[in-house]
Amino acid sequence: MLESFKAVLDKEREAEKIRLEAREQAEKIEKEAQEKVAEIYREIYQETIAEAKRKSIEIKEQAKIDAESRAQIFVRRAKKQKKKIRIDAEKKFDAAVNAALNEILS
Amino acid sequence: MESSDNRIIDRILNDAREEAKAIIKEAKRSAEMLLEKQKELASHSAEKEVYSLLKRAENEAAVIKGRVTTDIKRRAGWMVLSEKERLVTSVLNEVKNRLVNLQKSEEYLPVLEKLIVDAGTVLDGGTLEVMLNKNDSSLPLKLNKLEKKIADGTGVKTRLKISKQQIKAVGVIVKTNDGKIFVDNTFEAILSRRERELRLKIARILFSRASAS
Repeated sequence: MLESFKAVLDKEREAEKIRLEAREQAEKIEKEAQEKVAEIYREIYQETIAEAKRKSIEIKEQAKIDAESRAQIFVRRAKKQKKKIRIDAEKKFDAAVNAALNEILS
Repeated sequence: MESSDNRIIDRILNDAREEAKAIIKEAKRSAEMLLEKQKELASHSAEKEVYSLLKRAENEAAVIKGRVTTDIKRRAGWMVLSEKERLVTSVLNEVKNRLVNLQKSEEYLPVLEKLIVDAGTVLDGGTLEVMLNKNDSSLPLKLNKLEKKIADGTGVKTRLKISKQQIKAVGVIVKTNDGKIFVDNTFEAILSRRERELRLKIARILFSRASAS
């Protein structure tokens, strides 16, 4: 009987040791988490800002691409218009020369 | 020891192990929650700056688009305008050529006479000196007829005399007897004087919508 009681008492001590170790480990986990709090905050904050900065650059780059592509349309249109003006004007060249001469001589 | 004792002992240890597992699990969950909350807090705190960054980027993008568009519109406008300018200038150059060549034609004499009358009329008649180039000096100008035309136009008796001083340009320079006032009716001067007006007229003809017939 005494032997059994002693054995139970030993195991109770062992069990208490297991619990104690678990509590220590839990404390350690929580402490580590507390220590990481500032780092995590800074990391996420910086990542979020960095992502926004990347996005900002993308927005501006895209604006440049869009503007350049729009510019090309304007240039093509202007070249076409220039050509048309030249062709039309060449047909009226003599009329313009004669009108100017008339203006001077009459 | 009896088997029931062994069971009690096993139970004590198993319970302790289970409890230990639960304690650690709870600690891990709590740590994860804490970190997760920090992440959310950090994201939330960054939101204002993110919004401001993106807003600024969008504004700059609009400025870039506006600037490029304005610049290219200006360039396109300039391309068209410079082509028009070039075409008008080519007409004016042709006008100059034809005026120079006119000197060699039969039509020149009446033109020269008209230029003399116009100049004499502007000078309000009187005794006037007519300066011509070497070629034109030998032309059969009817000065009496021209004097009469000026006198008719101004009401002032007029006398024209050919100057000994010759010019190089085509056309005429007429000056008062004292040489204080003169009218430069050389083609070069006329063109220069009327260039603005002529350019406008030429442009109207060249670039009007109506097609040339």
